[in-house]
Amino acid sequence: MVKRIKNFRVISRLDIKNNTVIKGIHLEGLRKVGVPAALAKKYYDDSADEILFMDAVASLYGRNHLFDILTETSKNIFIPVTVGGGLKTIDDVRCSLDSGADKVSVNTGFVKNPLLINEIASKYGSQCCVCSIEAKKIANKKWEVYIDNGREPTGMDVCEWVEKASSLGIGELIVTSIDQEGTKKGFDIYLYEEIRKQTNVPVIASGGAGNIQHIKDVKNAGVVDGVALASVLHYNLLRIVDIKAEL
Amino acid sequence: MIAIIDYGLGNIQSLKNAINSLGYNAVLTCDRNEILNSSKVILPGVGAFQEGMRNIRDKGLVQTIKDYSDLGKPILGICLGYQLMNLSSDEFGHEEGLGLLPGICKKLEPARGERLPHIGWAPVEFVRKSDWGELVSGHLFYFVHSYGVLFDDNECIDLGVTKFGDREFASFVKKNNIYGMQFHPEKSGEVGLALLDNFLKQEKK
Repeated sequence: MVKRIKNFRVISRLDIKNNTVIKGIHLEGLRKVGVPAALAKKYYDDSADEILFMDAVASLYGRNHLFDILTETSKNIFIPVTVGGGLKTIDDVRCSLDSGADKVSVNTGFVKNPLLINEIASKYGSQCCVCSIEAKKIANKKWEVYIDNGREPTGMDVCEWVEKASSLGIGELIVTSIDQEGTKKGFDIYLYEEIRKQTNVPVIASGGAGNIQHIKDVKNAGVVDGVALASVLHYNLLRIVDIKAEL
Repeated sequence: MIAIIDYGLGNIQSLKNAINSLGYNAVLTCDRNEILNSSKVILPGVGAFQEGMRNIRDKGLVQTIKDYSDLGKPILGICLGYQLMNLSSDEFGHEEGLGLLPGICKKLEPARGERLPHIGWAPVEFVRKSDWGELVSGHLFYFVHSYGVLFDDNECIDLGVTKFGDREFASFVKKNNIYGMQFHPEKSGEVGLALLDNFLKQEKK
């Protein structure tokens, strides 16, 4: 029987380029790891609580190319599907939902146009609206917001951005530590502790999981509401059912 | 025919996928005749209450939905769809709903480390013994919402509740032919599909 945990979600994150799931370290140096539909189904069967599809090159091309993959993949996945990467307008949200997504994740789009948060929230509800943040540490307890899939610094402070996005009506945050991402050395728990001081929306930790202890540690810190896993799953280091058995 | 009401909001493709996987087909429609002639109607929901009611009014669907319900055939509201079936909501100001169910939608009040919106898996507990309660017991379902439905009086209602903050909101409701689910059965894995399947098998009373 599939195990679900109240107040803590284990999310499988699939970054996609050219119809292939890829994985990098610090959001670059990409390796191919599999076919989106097959991996999504594998993780669904393995008790994933949600699936997150990110278009890894959307900002380069100016738009999200995942709608076809979404349509195909979502046919057999009966857990929430979030799509992100290059989403900029209210129409993009409509297209995403029509293609099989239940939530949209936006980073660059919100940083460049914060009022888009309110626009999406008032039409589709804040719960459909996930703000994705890529954080790079610049000093003790200070992180900078990056956009364009970790390529471009913005000069903005992560905690200030979290506070602003929350006041504009964001429903959820997914925060990726660029420093920890792909390293399998653990989550940046300090980052999430600081973020929790700024907001009461659900926060998903992304970047750094290498073993079950890392996931237990970030859960026990009590500041996040779930984890997004990529490397540990794609490289077959852990199964979700085994992770949940220990949480 | 199963009709999914088209009022411009909702995770339509997700819902169709779930219905198709159960071996049924559904049609997305806002046509009065199609809706009245359907054997089942689903009011989906991902969106904001005010926008939802505005769209339903603009498309002339208020009376159609009420008339369909009066025929005694099964109708299911999911998440926002379920909220819209009630008397009113305080989201973005006060807004009247369809009035098919006697609940009021109120903003959830988190307590003890809970977050808002309420997003994630939670149990549904029935207030008294029920066939539907058997299907639901021991499982967690996927919720994603900031408002919950509260009933003053739950007589004649099959009622399942979920605790949030210091209150219990109505997460599953059946009143005669009218069904409401605050969680997303189409997104709650196999247990959600089983619940959806049970609804799709219901006949007119």
